[in-house]
This record gives sequence, C-alpha cells and structure tokens, in this order.
Amino acid sequence: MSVLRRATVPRAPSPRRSVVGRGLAGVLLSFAVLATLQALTIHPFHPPDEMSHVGYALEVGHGRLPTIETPIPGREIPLLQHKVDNSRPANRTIWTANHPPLYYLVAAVPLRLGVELGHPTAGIRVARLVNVAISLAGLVLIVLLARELVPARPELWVGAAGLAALVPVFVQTSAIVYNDALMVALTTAVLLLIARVLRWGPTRRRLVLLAVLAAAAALTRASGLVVVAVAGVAAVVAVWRQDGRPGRSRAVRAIAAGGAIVVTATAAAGWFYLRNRHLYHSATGTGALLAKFSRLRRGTVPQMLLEQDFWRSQVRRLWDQSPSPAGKNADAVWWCLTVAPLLGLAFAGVRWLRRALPPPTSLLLAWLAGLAVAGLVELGAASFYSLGGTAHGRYLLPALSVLAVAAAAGVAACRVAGRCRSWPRCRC
Amino acid sequence: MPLLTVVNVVLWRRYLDATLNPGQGEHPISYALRVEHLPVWLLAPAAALLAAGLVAQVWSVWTLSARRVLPVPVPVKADRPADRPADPPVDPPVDPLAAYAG
Repeated sequence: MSVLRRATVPRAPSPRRSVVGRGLAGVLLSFAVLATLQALTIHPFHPPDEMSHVGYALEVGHGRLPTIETPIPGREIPLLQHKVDNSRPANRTIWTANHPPLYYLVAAVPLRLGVELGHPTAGIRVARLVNVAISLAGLVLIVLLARELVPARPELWVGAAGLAALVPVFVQTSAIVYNDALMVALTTAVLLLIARVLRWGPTRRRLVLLAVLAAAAALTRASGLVVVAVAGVAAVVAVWRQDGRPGRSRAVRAIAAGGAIVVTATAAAGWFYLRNRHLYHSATGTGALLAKFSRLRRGTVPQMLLEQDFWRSQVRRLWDQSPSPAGKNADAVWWCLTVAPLLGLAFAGVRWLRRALPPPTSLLLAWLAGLAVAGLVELGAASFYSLGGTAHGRYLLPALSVLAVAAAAGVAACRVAGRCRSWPRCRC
Repeated sequence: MPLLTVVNVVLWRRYLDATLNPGQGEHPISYALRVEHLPVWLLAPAAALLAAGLVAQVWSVWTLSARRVLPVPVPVKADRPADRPADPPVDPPVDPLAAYAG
C-alpha cells in the first residue's frame, strides 16, 4: 500500500526540550492543583447535570444502557437518592442518556467500586479525579498540537496549554463527573493526528490511529460526529496531496482513506445514533430532551448567531459557572478576556499580510481543519440554543485546543503590538 | 497566566459561595473544606504547588520568547603559559533561540 508511504520530510529538531518540558510540567501542576481542589470541595451533585451523569455510569456499571426516561438509580448512593427526592420529576431520570456511552464506561469503574466497597462518595471523588487525569492528558496533547500548528514558536506551545488549563469552564468540568474532559482529550488527539497526516504524510499507522480516535470521539459526545467528518475530509486531502500516482488512482486511494475513517466511526458508534433515532426520532435526541424540559424553540440558527443573548450567555458560562450571574461589570470582564486574544490575532493577521510570507499549504490546511471543528461545534451550540437549549460555554470545549493555540498567538501578538512604536506601518 | 489563575480562584470561591451558602463571616473555601472533612491547612501546600507551577510556566514562556538568552558555554580565559602559542580566535556564543524568535 504505497499510498500510505512513510513520511520522508525530516522533522525539525525540538528546540530546548527541557525548557518546554518544564513549562509543560508547570501547566500540568497548576491545572492539577486547581482542578483537584475543585474536585474535592464542590459538593457532589451540586453541578446540575452531575447526578444524571453518575446515574448513567451506575447503570452502565450494571451492563444496562439507559434512556432519558430511565430513573436515576439513587438507592445505590444515599446522597444521590436525597438529591433525586428533592428534584422535580423531569430531573429524576437520566436525562443525559442521549450521550454515547464511552465516558460512562470509564466513570463506571470507580463509581461501582465505591458502591461495592461501601464508600460511594469516595467513588464519586475518584471518578472526578479520573476526569482530572484525562484532562491532564488532554493538556499534553494540546502542547503537541501547538507544536504542529506553530512549529517555529515554542513559547506558544507552552502558552497554549497554559491558557487552556486556566479556562475556568475547563477546570470545573474536569473536576466533576461530566463527559466533556474526555471529549477535549479525544478531539485534541484527532486534531493532532490530522495535523500530522497533513504535514508529514498519511502513513498507515497515522490513519489507523486517526480512525480509532475519531470513532472514540463519536462514542463520547454527539459533537464527535463533527470530528469524524473533519478527520475524513482531512484524510482525503492528505492522501490526494501526498500521493504521487496518476489522477484516477490517486482519487480512489484518497476517497478510500477518508471512507475508511468514516466507516470505522460508523461501525463503532453508528448503532448508538440509530438507537437514539429509534427512541427519540433524532440522532442526537435533542428534540425529545428539550420537550421533556418544556423548552420552547427560540428561532433559527442564523437568528441565534445574530442574537446578543446567545453570545452573552455563552461567554458568561465560558468563565462563570455560578448559578447566579455576577452582574454587568463581571460580564464586561469576561468579554475583555475573551476578545483580547482576538484583537491580537487581528494584529498578527495584519502583520502577516504586510509581510506576504504565506505559510506552507500543509500548515494552512491543518489550521483550517482545527478551525472547521471550532466553527461546526459553535454552529451545533447555536442550533441547540435555537431549539430551546442553554448556551453553555462547555459546548465549545471540543475546540478548546485549537482555540487555545489561536489565543496564545493572539496574546503574543498583543505583546508585540504593545512594544511596537510604529504599528501598523512597521514590519516587526 | 497569573491573572487567569486569580480569576479561577475567585470564580471557584464564588461558586462555592453560591452553592453552599456558608454562614455570615465564614469563608466559602474553608467552609467547603470543612463540609468535605478536609483540613484547611491543605490550602498551604496547594498554594505552594500552584505558585511553583505558575513560575515554571512563566519562566518557560519568557525564556522561549527569547527575552532572556539561555546560558551558553563561553570559553574561560586562562593565563597562557609562555611556551604555548596563542589560542585561535573563538566564535562568538550562539543564541540558541534566535531562530525561534518572532
């Protein structure tokens, strides 16, 4: 299978590995401390969806796959039973059962152990710490992704992971029993492989890993379907660009590579989305879920994208998870913190245009793949909001890695702009 | 990064305050630790580790940004014995990060 040839371009040597390594160690240490403190101090089931996620994992631990109408098995954990008893009827069932089961297989192990050993609360704590560990792996992957996306800027490798590790919604969702942390790690791994396939060539090992990880993403959250689609297209493009055969043969091999990724993901996760379709009349189960909570449709997706409330709600929830809003002053702070990297990126864009030094096509394609995931994930969030759902900031987490690299580049460009006296005429 | 760390700690405190409703005058974080049967002194090593992690990050980014040149071996001048010929000219030290700056 010569199309899946070995990469022939030698990689650039990693500059100052020890400096990057120490920076990464610092990122991991800071994140581990912040997330562990939250995992230990946030009372079990205070985060709104945690009791449903725990209920799902307990059911999976028994070898059963719940539906959104399956009662939460509170009798196994007294604290959970207390919470269920004090909830409204719609919240007494596993309403998150429209999610695929991969994360719950992982979380079921500590939760079941805790129940069996008579320490269910300790089981919840351990499940939370497992989530923290998954996020730590995700942060390492972010450094590797940044190394592919900005190869000549090692300070951005550490900076991107550092920024990602300090996004409050990421810290908190990693510290509780939610499935978002696994999604971050898997999406980052897929984006890393996409970047490698596009930049260094589609070897057989890379394509197989890409297919497996994309399938795992599709088995974690519905946004994994977006990741599968982007991975499939990236494989087609990579094989088409790197293969030296004549046109028709090259096209067949390119389509076969992309198709193999989509087929693998469909074989692994398709059954779950078909089950959703059978149970709730949609692949994601969104309609049935929102009907269960009596949510009303707000409008169309384009309308939501133009609506101020959507963006305000999402930006606020990207930072502040508190049940009560902090007020307009806090909102202004969240907007500043979100928009500052964008201004830097705009500045970097102007500099790039003035220099007229286009980066290699493979690098541009790797960026395009990451930004495509970010754009599609945001469209998914807008679609959910348009149907009556909440605009949670954590819905953007699958794109955290690429957004963090972009934000690090933006912040670095802000620093350059701050130092530069003759901007925008300069060519610094 | 230090700013974002402070933001995280403030938001964590706010979240605990909003969800646990500690009594008047009681700090939400110490109250949360007490509720979860954890000693308050746990915060001291946690703060030290957090600070160490932040310092490592900032140092790494600063160093890699080529604001500060890493130490490179520089030949030390020693007294030359009278019978030894003069040393050949030494190349200037190379900035290992120059290629990555900008």
